[in-house]
Amino acid sequence: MPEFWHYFIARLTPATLGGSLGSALTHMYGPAFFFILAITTINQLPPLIMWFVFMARPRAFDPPANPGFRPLVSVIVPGRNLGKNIATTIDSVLQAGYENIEIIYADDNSTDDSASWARTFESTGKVKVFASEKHHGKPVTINIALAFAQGELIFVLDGDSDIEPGTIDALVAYFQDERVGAAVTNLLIKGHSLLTYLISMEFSLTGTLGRIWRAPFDILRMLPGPSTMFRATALRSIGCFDPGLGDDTDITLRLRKAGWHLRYVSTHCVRTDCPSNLRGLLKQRNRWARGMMKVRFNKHFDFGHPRYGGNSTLLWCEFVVQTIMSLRGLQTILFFVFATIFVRSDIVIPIYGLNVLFILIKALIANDLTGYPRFRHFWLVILYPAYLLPIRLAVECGIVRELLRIKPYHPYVPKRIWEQTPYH
Amino acid sequence: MVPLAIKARSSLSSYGRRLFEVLQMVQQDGGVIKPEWYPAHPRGYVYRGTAGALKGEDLADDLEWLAHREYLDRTFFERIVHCARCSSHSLNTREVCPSCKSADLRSVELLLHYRCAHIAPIHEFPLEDRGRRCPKCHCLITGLGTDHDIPTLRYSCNQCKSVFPLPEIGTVCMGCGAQYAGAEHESLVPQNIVFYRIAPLGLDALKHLGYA
Repeated sequence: MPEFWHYFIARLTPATLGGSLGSALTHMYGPAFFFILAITTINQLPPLIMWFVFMARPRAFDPPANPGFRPLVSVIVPGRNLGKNIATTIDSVLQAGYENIEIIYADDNSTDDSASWARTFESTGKVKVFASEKHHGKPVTINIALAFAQGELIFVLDGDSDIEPGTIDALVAYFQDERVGAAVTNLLIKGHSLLTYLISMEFSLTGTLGRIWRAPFDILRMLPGPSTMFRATALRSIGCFDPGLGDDTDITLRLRKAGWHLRYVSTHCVRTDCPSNLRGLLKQRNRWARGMMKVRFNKHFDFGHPRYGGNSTLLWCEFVVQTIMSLRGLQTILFFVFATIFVRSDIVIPIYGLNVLFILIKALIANDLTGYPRFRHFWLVILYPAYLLPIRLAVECGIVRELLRIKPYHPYVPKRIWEQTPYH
Repeated sequence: MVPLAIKARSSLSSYGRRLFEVLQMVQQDGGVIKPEWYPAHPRGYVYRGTAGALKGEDLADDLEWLAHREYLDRTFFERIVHCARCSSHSLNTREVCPSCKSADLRSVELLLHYRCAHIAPIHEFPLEDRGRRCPKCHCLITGLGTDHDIPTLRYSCNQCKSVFPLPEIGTVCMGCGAQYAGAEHESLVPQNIVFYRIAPLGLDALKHLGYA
């Protein structure tokens, strides 16, 4: 090894990069150790408690009983260049078992035959198709569809997503409570590749488990774009969607600020598409992170104000801690990738093993509560920390880029609309 | 049946003579006879005779007889549809509500404000001296295409109160009142209208009998 590398690596010890995980292990019981302990507790403890609750009361997470509440549900399906897939989505809604629905497919200026596929369902009398002559982006397309929606409830479903039978019934049941403004379902990933199984596992371990323990305390962080049901009056009272990145985080915070309660259905799921390769996935996560930062940092930094309730304050604190943690996380990742992995395998391997153990526990909890991830995919927990590494990097890059306001434009929204919107 | 052309002129029946007169009339009119729109006729059009005893008569059956035996050629002129129930050509086609099939519709322009993505009927954006005011973000809207757009019309039905982006095409028969909408239009009976042109066999027949 060249002498330069000897010199370089000799100084890349955990002690020189104080504050990182390596430092925490070196200086056991130092501040970094407690920091990591706190993060681990936040990640592991709530799902564990919820699991105990579930074991004591197995029906604790079921939707409320619904003897006869059947309002008109407008299912809004925004989409662009979905081709034949839109037919699968619309068909899944028609087969979902809820009769009192209207489906509005809002085509965002597709260059393929998506609108024609959707129009084949018009003869059912339940499907309306709006085909835009200009590309507007998803939030605006949803708003256009909302102008035609007559339902008391609005179910926004991505054009590349399918729902299980009974999903609409389960969601509708929560809206018997007049204070509920929105409800979400489980999200799963379509596809049969190693990457899609890993993404599906990630959705179960982070999204699903997180929502299960957050929902009872009304501290859901985000209503996912692919499948959320809204009360029409709640949505219209806040002016529907705003344009720009992070539309799902934005609508969540605006509903929360307006005092609406948010609910979660763990018994049913929506299957959605995801990027088919790692490059696409990293770009997607980078966009999500940027959207989240734009909305929470630039637009709604006041969402933790006590006037919005104690749970909002709690969420705000979590956001701040998480942002700091992300930046610390970046430091840790860099340390492991560039230093420890080569010279301190005695540290890396036990930590990796510990991570796998924690993930395995979460996978068991998630499987017991929702049936996902499937047991046959449990072996993927060995790869899971390695899968998360590039994703964390993509997320960190997105966060840093937004904090430093580097090239703020993203083609998620057309430029003519982007230039008019505030909160870049 | 014995072809007209091989019969002697004197041996023709009265109907045969009439057909030759029709052929002769067509030839004298430039070799072509075109249909004439005539809404009062159950068929909606007639082939009117222009000379002699045939003047003013509808010659459609005679022309079809001659065309069937290749004395005349048919050329497409127009397509007309008839009611499946009463065969009337008098059909009224208009935009109708996709839900209740009523023609009692109204439409309104939707305005999209780029800044806040607010979309509403244009009259909900109050008009001021320098433009319109957005009711969501309270910003002034001034330039079409710059800060706002009119992405679509919104139709609403005055009967069933439903709203929709595109009305359906509906047809009502003015003869019997039958209604057709959407896929029901396939039950309407289409008919091609043609104009007739003298065929070589027709010219031979006229020549043989000394009409040409």
